[in-house]
Amino acid sequence: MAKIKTPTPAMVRYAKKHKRPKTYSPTRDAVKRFVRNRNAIVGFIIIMLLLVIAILAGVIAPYEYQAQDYAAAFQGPSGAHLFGTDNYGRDLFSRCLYGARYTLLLALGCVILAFLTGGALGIIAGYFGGTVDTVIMRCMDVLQAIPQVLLAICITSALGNGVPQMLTAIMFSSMPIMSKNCRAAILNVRNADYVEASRAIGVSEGRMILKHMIPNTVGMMVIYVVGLMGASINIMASLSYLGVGLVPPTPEWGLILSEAKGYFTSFPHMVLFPALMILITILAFNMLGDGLRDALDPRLK
Amino acid sequence: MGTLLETKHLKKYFEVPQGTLHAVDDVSLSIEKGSTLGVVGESGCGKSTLGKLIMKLSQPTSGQILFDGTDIVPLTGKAFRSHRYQIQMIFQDPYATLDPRMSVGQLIAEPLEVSRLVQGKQAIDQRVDELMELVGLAQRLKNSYPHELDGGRRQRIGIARALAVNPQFIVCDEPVSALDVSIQAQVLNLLQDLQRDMGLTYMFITHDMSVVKHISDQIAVMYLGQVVEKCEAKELFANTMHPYSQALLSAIPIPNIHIERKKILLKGELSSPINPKPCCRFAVRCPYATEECFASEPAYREVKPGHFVACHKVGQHNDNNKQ
Repeated sequence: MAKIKTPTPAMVRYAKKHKRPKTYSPTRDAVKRFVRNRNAIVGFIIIMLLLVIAILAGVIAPYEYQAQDYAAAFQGPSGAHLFGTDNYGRDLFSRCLYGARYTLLLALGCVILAFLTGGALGIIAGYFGGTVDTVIMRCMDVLQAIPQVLLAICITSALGNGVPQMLTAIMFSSMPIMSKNCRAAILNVRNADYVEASRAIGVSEGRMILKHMIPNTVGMMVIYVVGLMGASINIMASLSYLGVGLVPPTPEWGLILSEAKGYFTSFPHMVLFPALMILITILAFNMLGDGLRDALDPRLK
Repeated sequence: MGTLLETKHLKKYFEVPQGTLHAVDDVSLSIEKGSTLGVVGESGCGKSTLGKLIMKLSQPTSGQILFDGTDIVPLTGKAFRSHRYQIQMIFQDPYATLDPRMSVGQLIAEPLEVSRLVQGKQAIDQRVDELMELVGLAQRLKNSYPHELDGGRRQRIGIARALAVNPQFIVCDEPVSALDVSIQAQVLNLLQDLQRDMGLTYMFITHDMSVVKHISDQIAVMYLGQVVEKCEAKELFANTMHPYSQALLSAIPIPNIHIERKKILLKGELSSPINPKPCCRFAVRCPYATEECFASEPAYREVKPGHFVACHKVGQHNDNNKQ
């Protein structure tokens, strides 16, 4: 029998430092890949910061978002007004902070709605196939034939301005792409060999969906959802800018931009800061989405 | 021992834009209890479709599948569930057929949970351990994931999954063709040991003649959806009758460079299985074909006791070949 050496403290330290996880876990592996991706982490941190801002907007903001001070109108960035003021003398810094709350919340609403409608339709189409698939997907094709922003404009101009109207508009315009992505994800696993193998074992359809299809598609779905966050902020800003989105004085970033459009040649700061906020947010979501895509795809190891 | 599984005039046609694809065309086979039937043929000859029909993963166009005397084709729902566990399958690609997000333990426990043959978490856990030992998987691999293991171990998981529900009959759909040669032998030996110990009956689908020779009691040779020859394994190698079988056998490599052997090289391509003409399907490639072969379909008949062949020319070309 081989002699077993008593481990020296150095060996113990080495073993602790290089502790190998007992088992492989796809989740842990994905987290590791995500953390290693600098872009993804930057995106993640920015989004976390924005969330903190959105939650604490009332605490951080020096002014109320709708507080007007005509004496201080059209001021450039200064110590009193970090981002300057607009034509009504409202503090743009406060408006941008509150805007994070509105914009993120609305974008989340859009994404949830789009996922519950478009995503669900895509999953149904992909899972059942045949006629169901054809009917749903042709409807989506019709929706997709209309440019996304144009469709959203049509819907909001028909329904009027306001939060529910805008959510509806963005939901409809995001439905085609969401349903197509989800359908593709489901098709991918529906025809997988392991699904057929489980069927041979006698796995019921319900269990198949819960235990095999959902765990194997959740990664892809997360990516689509995160991607859609950025896209909906974008559309929301476009709609507000075009005057068919929200109603003033809501401090939504697109709307701030829209209100500033008459003055931006003389007072570019009125456009600069809300535009920067939109830019940073969309960028962060895209970075996070790309990072998630890479992290959740084990083939990219 | 008696017949365990029998197919009678089993047909599976697929409608494709070009016509009707005869994937499995009038296959009548029987498999003795405790024996192994090797099904060989080149890619696309319908052998995997035949396996799927027997597994009821797809519904046959017509024909019967008798299992222990009961026709399982019309069975659905509850009536089928009890039969489901009698017939199991081992798949070709042991990587694609295992859910990448399940651990070895979970994968082997799945059939137990689904079939409810074993109740309770502890009992299932214990049975999983038994099964892992049975197929030669180390306990420490229980929490591993399939992609961490080599092909042989993955295939052992597949075998454990199939065995979990105590089946009598296992369809092995090319279980070793995705594996390295050294691991092929391990898996084949495991399958043979299991058969001996548990009295299993196998239908062994493969395109590898050396594998089929090693494992089969009986061999059925398929060509374009039809069985062209079926007999005892020894008889097939000693007394090959169908010209297609002869060509197949001559393609087995002999591990001795001093033996010279004439290989029968088949001319032409596999003819299309879509809307086949009513003649011998092998005729276009057959070195012995005559007008008769192009005029009518040869009957599948018993030439010698236990030796079935579908060829018009049986007897004549055989003698030519022996010289």
